[in-house]
Amino acid sequence: MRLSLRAKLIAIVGIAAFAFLVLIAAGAVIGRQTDRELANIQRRLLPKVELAPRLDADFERLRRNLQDAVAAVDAEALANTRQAKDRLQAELAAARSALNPADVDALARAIDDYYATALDVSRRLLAGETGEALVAAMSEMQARHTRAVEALRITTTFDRSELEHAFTAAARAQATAGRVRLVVSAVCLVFVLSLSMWFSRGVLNSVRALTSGLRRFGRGEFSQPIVDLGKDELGEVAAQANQMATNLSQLAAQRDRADWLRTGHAGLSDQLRGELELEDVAARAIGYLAPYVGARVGAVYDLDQKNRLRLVGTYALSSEREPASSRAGKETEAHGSGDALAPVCEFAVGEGLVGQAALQTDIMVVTDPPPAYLRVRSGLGEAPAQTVVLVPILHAHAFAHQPRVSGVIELGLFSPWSERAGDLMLAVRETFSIAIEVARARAATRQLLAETQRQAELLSRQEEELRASNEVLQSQQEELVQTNEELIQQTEELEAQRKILEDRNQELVRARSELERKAAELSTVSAYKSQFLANMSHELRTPLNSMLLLSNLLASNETGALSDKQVEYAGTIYSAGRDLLALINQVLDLAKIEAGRYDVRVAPVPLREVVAGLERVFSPLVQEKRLRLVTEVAEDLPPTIASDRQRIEQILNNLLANAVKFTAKGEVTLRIERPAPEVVFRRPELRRDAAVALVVSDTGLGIAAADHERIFAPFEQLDAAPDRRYGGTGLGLNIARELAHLLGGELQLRSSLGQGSTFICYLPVEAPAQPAPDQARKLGTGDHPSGPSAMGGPGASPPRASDSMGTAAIPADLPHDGSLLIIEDDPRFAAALGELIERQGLKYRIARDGRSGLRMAQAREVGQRRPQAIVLDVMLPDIDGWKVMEELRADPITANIPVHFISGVDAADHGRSLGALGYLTKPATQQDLVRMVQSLVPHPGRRKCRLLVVEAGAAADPLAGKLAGEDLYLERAGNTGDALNLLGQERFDCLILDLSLPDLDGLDFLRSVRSKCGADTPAVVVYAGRPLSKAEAQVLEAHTEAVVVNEGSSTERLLDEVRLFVRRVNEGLDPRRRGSSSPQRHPHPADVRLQGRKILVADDDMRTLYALSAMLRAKGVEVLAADTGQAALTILEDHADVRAVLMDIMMPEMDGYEAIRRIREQVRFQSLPIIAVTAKAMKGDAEKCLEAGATDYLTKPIDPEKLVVALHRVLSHNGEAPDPIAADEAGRSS
Amino acid sequence: MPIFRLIFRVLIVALLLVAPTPGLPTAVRAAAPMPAFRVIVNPANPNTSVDRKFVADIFLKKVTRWGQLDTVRPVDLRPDSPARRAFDEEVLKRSVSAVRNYWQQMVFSGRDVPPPELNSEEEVIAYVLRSPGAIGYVSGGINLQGTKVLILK
Repeated sequence: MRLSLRAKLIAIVGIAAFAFLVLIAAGAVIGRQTDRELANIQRRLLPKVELAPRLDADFERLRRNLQDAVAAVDAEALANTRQAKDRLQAELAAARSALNPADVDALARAIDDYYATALDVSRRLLAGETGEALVAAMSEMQARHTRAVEALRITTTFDRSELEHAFTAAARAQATAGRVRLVVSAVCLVFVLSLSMWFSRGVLNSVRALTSGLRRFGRGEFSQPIVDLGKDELGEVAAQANQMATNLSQLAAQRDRADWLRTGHAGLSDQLRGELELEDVAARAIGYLAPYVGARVGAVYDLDQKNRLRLVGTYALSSEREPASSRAGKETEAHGSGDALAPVCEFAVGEGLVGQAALQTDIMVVTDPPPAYLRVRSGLGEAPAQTVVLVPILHAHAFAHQPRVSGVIELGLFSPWSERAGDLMLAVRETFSIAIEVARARAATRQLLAETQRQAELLSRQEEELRASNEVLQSQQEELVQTNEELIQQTEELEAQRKILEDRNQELVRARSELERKAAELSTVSAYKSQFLANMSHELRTPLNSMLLLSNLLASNETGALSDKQVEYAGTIYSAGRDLLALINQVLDLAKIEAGRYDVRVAPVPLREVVAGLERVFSPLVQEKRLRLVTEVAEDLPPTIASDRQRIEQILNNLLANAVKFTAKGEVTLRIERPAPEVVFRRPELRRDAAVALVVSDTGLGIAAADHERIFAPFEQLDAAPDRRYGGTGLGLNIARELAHLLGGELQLRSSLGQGSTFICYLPVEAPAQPAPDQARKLGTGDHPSGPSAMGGPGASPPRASDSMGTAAIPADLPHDGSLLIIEDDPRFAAALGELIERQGLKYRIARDGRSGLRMAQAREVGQRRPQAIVLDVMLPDIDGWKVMEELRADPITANIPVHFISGVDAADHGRSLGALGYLTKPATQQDLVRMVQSLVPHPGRRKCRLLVVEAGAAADPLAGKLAGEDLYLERAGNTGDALNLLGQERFDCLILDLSLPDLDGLDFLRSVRSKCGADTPAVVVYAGRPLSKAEAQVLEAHTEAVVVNEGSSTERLLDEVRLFVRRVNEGLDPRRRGSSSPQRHPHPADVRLQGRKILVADDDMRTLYALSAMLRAKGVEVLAADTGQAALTILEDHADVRAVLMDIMMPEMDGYEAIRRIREQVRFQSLPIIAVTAKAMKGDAEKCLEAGATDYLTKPIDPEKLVVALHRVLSHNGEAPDPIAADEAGRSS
Repeated sequence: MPIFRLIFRVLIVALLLVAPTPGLPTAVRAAAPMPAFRVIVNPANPNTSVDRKFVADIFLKKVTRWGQLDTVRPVDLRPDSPARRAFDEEVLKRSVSAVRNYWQQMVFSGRDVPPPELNSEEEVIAYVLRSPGAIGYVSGGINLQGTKVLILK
């Protein structure tokens, strides 16, 4: 029966409910029967049960009443006993209905009988009757009593059995009811259970069918649908599941197809992974694809550069159709099967089916070709292919709309071509194409790599050659060292000779004293003279004093006897005398000046008074020379300045004296005014608004700009040599300048030849309390010998103290050997510290005790140099660290060596108070030690590069600003004069010159820089705002390191140049390698050879030209520059004395080879050393150079050292006689 | 009321055990002058002496036979007779009223009847002579007329 599940469920529940109702009804029927039985018991039997004891009790009461009455002998009581008897009878009557009536009657009779007898006996007893009769009555009474009791018992006994019977009946009814209920329940239960089982079996069957069906679907078996289960809900589920299975099976088919495509694609990618040759790619691809798509044979054609399709890989193809590349090897094997078609290994595009396939993008399928078209062969047989497929390998090109064809795949199948295989081929051909492209690219890369390796080999060979030349250099250096040693030996010998001389000298002194003793008179005179000299200044003061007093007296003219003129003269005498006195004092104090201890007594100086005083002094002199003296004090000046009047007057004295001396006609002007707005101070502390200008100008000879600096040098006099028209020591200006410095000001000169000259002394309104710190050094380092001096001109004082001061003022940058000196008695700690220092890239020396440490630090002996810094222990065996420190600080040589204490003694404060840089307490950690070393040598070998920028003050794009970020010390000069002044004051490493300055003649300026700075000439970088003419450039380049023309990124190049210098300086290299020309050192042998030689440099690259010229000029070479081969030839025509030629090979118009050949053609240049310079470091180049006639060759970039070595080599090989200068120098140096 | 009954019996036994001590001099005295009563039985009765306790049991009807022989038939005198009083007090060891009370209880509870109380000693003698199993008592001075006196032990 096909009912819905819901109907079935309702049916089961309904039947169960019905059975439950039946059960309840049956229970009710049976319960009524039982109730009836129980009611019977309650109504009839229970009263009887109660009655029996009551009757017993009543009867007993009656008996007892009788007995009591007899015992009490109370007749009335006896009479009353009848009531008890009546009550008993009434009771009995009341219960009669419940009892057996016969029994009740019998009992009532028995009671009556008993009572009658008992009453009789009781009366007789009361009456006191005795005797046998009474006894008989009593017996009768006893019998009746027994009977009554018996009757009572019978009545009661009967009732009990009836009760039991009633109970039994009720129990029976109950049992019956239970049985009925059990039966009905069982029947209902069975019915409901069977119904449920029937129902559930149906549902379970349906569910099972559904489950097995769904499980099949889960396994992917969609072919067998779930059988129809009917119209119920499960049937509906089954129908939906079947629908779902249908959909799933379709999806699975699609997925299988996609999987197949993807697997094929991935498999191909796997095959093509790795670095494969084109042939490998083709073979692997076809070897994989053909079996995958079911092809029996296959071939791959590659479209090569020449647009030819070339067979590059096959699959199962007959051997004669193998690709061309591998066919050669298999030629002999292929001979056996020569009956097949001739192999076709190449096609043009469009030729044949293969060529046609390359033209189109779709797959070309040839179905059922003739049997002979293509045969598939195995060892056992062969058969024609049924289908031939041609697949163009396309590659979507990034820059073309049309995809690019990389090749063609040809496949032969026994089966028809499936659409799925077609899709796969379309999908993979991109990958395949890429692989082919990659393989091609790889082949190209490999080719390039091979080429690179070849070049690398070449390079390494050249490096080898370089090394060889380096060794040559080294051997030369060794020779140098040897020479040096010889020199040292000679010095020692000289020393020995000097000692001998000294001994002899002493002997002489002894002899002289002998003589002195003998010539007493003479010695007395000598003593007087010495005394006079010693006391001269004092003796001079005495007459001066009286002269001053008297002249002052005269000037006051108290008597009025003198004319005004006379008074004025007296005043002049007075002030001149005072000057003289001051000068004498000055002579005495000169030592102090030189030592930098010259006192400056700052006090208010009334300017007008000063001017008036000077006017008075110089008026007579001026008048004598028929000149005019103009004095002028500007209105806007303060009346007084805080300075030293004596010094100011001295300066002005000197200047005025000079002016008067050198002026033949015209006027001398003394002017005090505010500094001009455009003035540039060399001293940074001078400010225009806090300074006065003391101007002394004349209309005299004037001084050429080139000589401006020279006149300030001690003992220098312009025109001194020709006729010595003017006397004097030449110290005047020098002293004036030093005094100006002392007062915190400076002295400037503006003059040119024939234009008169103006000296301007700028002084601060408030002089500094301390003299300028560099004063002592400036005076002390003058290396001119101090000569005898007369007290000729005003202010002319001899720099007598310079010798003694020379040692007292060692410059801070005294050379040191860059090592750290460890003064430490614990050898292990010293060694450990040394290792740590070495790891920092520094050298170190160890001293075991204080004395040897001091010796090493002072480096008094020849060949020794001071250490850069000192690490000092406190506890030392001989003298302790404190003492060592004190001695180091006391000695000017070692005073400024940084010292760091490291000690077990904890006394950092004491160490620092002695001037130590730091104090480290043992034990110290590694980091502490590293920090200590770094603090001692903050930037190993570094010193700030000092840079001077000369550019227009109002430049729109100041270079100084661009360079500000660099790690260097920068000064800026707005014009050449300032620049020269600055160069005179300080040493610079580099000079940057802007050629666009208005007042600049570049060459003149550079010459004056060179003449001024001599050996300390800074490296010069010229910065031109405009293109330079060739001649200009060549002239400039001879004096400079680099010329930068302001074009495009030239600012950047300038910065690069500057940075290059800065780096060289920071690395401790001499930026210009000009050490050979320094007078303190022995000239380099190579430099000796180069000195004064004329060398032609030919190069088209201006920068190279400049660099080479600058470098060679620094060596003293005279450089001629040519920018083409032709120019070089022309120059050689003009300069027959050219000693060597540096020839660049790559030049326009005429290249180096040609130029060398042309030079060699001339007989006179047959042996001229020519060094070819080439940028190409190729093997052939060198040989070509030598073939062309070059003596040697160098490669770019040129290493200056190497160039010098090469020049040296070619010059010496040339067998040339050394020229006189070199010979002279060489002679002196050996 | 079994418990009460038991207590009652125990009390009676206790009374009976205590009683003979004053009774003995009386019997001795009776032998000499005139005893207050004499216990008599039918001459056919073989017994010559009995226990006082046995006599008391007989009169309270606790014993109803002479050994295995005849039924015992006790007979009392009137309650106001002196012999009765002496007998009750000496043999039964209780007052006459107590004995009568006892018998009233027995009668009304339907358990037993008392021995007959005869008006005169002659009637007692006659009763004894008439029935072989009878036992009675009479005062000392009376002619026994052939009845046998039992010696109380």
